[in-house]
Amino acid sequence: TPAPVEPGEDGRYTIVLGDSYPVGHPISEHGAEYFMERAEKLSGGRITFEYYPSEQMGAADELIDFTGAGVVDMASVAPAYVPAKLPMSGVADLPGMVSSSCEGALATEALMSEGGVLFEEEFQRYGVRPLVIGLIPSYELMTGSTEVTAPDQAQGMQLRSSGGTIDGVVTSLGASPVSMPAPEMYEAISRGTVDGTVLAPLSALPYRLDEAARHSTLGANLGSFTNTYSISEDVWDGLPADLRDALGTAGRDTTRHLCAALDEENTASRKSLAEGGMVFHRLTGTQRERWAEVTGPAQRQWAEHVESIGRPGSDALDSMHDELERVRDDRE
Amino acid sequence: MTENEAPSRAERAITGIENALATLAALALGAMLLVMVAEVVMRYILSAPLGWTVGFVQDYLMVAVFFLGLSYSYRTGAHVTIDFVYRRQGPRGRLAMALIGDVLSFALFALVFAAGVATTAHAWTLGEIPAPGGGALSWPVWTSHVFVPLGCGVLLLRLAATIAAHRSGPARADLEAGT
Amino acid sequence: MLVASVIVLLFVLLLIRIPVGFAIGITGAVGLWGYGGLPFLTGMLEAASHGPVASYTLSAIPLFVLMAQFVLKSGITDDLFDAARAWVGSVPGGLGVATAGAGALFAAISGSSTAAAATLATTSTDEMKKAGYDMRMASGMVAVVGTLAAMIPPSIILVFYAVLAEQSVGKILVAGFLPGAFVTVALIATQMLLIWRNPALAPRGERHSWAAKLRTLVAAAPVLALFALVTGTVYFGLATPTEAAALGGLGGLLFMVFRKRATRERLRSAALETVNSTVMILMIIFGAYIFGYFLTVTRVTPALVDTVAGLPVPPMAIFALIALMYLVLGFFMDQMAILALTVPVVLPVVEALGLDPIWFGVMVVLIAEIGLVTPPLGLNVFVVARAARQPVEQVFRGAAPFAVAILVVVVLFAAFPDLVLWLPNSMTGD
Ligand code: NA
Ligand code: NA
Repeated sequence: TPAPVEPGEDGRYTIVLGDSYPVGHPISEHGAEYFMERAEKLSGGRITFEYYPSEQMGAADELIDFTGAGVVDMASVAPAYVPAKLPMSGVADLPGMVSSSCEGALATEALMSEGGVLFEEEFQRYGVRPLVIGLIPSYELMTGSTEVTAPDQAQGMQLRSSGGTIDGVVTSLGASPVSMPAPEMYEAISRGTVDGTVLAPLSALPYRLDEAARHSTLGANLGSFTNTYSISEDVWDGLPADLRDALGTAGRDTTRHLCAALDEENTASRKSLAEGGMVFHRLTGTQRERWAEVTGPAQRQWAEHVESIGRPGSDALDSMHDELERVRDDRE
Repeated sequence: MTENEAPSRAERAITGIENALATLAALALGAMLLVMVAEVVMRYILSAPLGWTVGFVQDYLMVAVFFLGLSYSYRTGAHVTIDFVYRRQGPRGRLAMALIGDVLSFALFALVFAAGVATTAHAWTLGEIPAPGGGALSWPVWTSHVFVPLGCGVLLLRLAATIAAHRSGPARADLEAGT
Repeated sequence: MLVASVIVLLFVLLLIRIPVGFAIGITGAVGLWGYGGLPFLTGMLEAASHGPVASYTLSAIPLFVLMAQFVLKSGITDDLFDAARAWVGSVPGGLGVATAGAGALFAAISGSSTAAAATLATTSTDEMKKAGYDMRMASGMVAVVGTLAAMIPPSIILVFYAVLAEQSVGKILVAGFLPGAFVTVALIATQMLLIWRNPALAPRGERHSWAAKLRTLVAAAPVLALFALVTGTVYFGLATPTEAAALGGLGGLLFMVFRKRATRERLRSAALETVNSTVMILMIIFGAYIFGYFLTVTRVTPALVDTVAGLPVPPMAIFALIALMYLVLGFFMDQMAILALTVPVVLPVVEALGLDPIWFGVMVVLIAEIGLVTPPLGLNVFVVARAARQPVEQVFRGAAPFAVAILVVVVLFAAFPDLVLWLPNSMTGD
């Protein structure tokens, strides 16, 4: 078993934090960096960090293991990257589930805290504890040359998919998910190898998909991307109670700061993409309903698939809906 | 059975296993070619991509080619070495160099082997498996990790046999250098 | 200091003839042990597991090597090189020129320079040996020519940089074209210079009649068609660059079938030789992953960059020092790892100096590519040495003048950044 973090001679604890996002990515800037600043302040300087961004300390799909093994103390853990380990924790990623980053993050936060179904059933098994939750919301259908405003127009298309729940969305549209590494996506769309992809504007911008894809829906709400910053349970247990409180508070503060920032950045990214020549087709109310009709069954189907591998998928789905309702009520 | 024959018999068994695994690695290579061509054909001509090729190639075929071919490639001298110091040594120096190399390699792969056993067991006990419904194959994760201990295990046997042979005489090192 | 002693250990292990990939892995493991103790090392090995080799992108390496093996065993390369000899054979070093040209063509399909080097080495070094070339020069050039794959699109490494640096993927890919052409010309010029100084390095072929030239072209047509087909599938969107490697492999297999060479024995040997080459390359990548992890946790790179950035010297001098740092890192680390480790730290420095990030990306990739042919850790050299059955140090020495040529191109681009930038800047958009 890995050793817990020992305080240095000056009584300070140094936490090694690794993630998979490039410096300047909103999740890094408003997630990791904000959290570190907050935690250092709340702990009165008794907690300091060593931060390794850009997959320096492990690939996106391995960081959960690096944390569990005690190689890093805290890391970005995103359910979409580890579908075999956290098959249910990406429940907020389902199409039509959340309407904003904040709503989704706050609902997920409850389910990923002690007593919540996602923490008890999944994170705990891997010896990690989510402190910060961040959601990139509003996945849209981005296409190379064909304008799409109704779901049936996507039928028969080949769409690059990051896998997992997005595969399910693509399939529910009657299109085929094509898997390929993200760096190949740009050229594949611009050369017509695939017809397009399902992605959030915020995630499309670093790849400059505005140069490759001409069209995008606006308001199709095809899914989200959930990320957490999770700390090793061994490290957590080894900290004095007041520092655990400081980290917990810093995490909750960051979740709230990050979700506002992600909603803003997603809109800003959409504007940048539009300036670069990507045409966003804003869906009308009736058009949105048609998308919801197609993607709605995808949620139940997801729960069934998760149940089929022996995990309480319906439980997770229902809890998510309950929490979302609670969050919506609270915010009114 | 005399003591001299024992290692050679064990070695022959190891060689047999290596050859069998290398054949499987070659088949994995062929499968990689076929699966990717099939993906292009299905996508471009039939508009029905397989969807699982990336995961299959990455988690199974690449892993199989590397770990199943590991010991075979070591035995057949496929790994590039820097030889100019070695070439200037006498038999004793060569033996010493070969022995150090094999012992250190054994240590490294013993650690990788142990790590592979741990990850395979971990994936097994936690019942890790991607849910169906995505494009990816819904196969238990341990079936991908198990290639690590399998390949490293055979390499460890090979290294142990080589070290044992070194101890019985320096001729061995020269024999290897020639192949 | 831990890092220094670990690097010394690497040299020692390499010199006592421990296989390169093993030596790098052992050294990295020793370093991690020294840094964080045994539980840290085993934890890292468990978490990484087969991750370093379980990569879809890397599958281009075995597939292109397999294609090369099939093409080679179909006997068709003889025809191709006959054609090359007939067309450029009367020029001293003509075959080398043809190889550089073929390398540039091949770079156009391959996204990975190591895959390109392995393919070229498998198919061309035997021919150059037969033709009486100096093997040190020939194999050195083939190792360097492979690096063109990173400059001429598609290029995995340039896209990787673009995302890390938040730059336009399209622009950086276009920006690679011209430097790719420059490097091709520089490599050919270097070879001609070497031969001009020492004519014994390359045979002078005979002049061929036009009829003879055309005859060889007909014979070589299938290989050229295969190249065109594979390139075409990528450019016309039928396949991704990785899939194109598989289509190339299928094409190679069809050659064997049509030329009635597809015996069970030949197929088996082609596959097993590919397995061996692949394992060798992946073992180096596996070892470099462990070693790179060690370098990352010790944080030497950010410390180095901070020191350099604080120096009171002009921007280009700081760039030169940064370039030097990349060159040295390229001695030890995998390119992707180098970029992930350094770009976040270096790019703000570079931008503060008023240097263009697109230009910088091209320069960094170019310099990191030089690292693939410089000792002690030169992946392309190892690949070529194995395929051409040449001693590693010979190939390193043979590659040196060509690496210098690329360095000259780097200096040229540093002096005239517009050479890199005018093409991407002439693109529509901003
Ligand atoms: Na290329
Ligand atoms: Na190097």
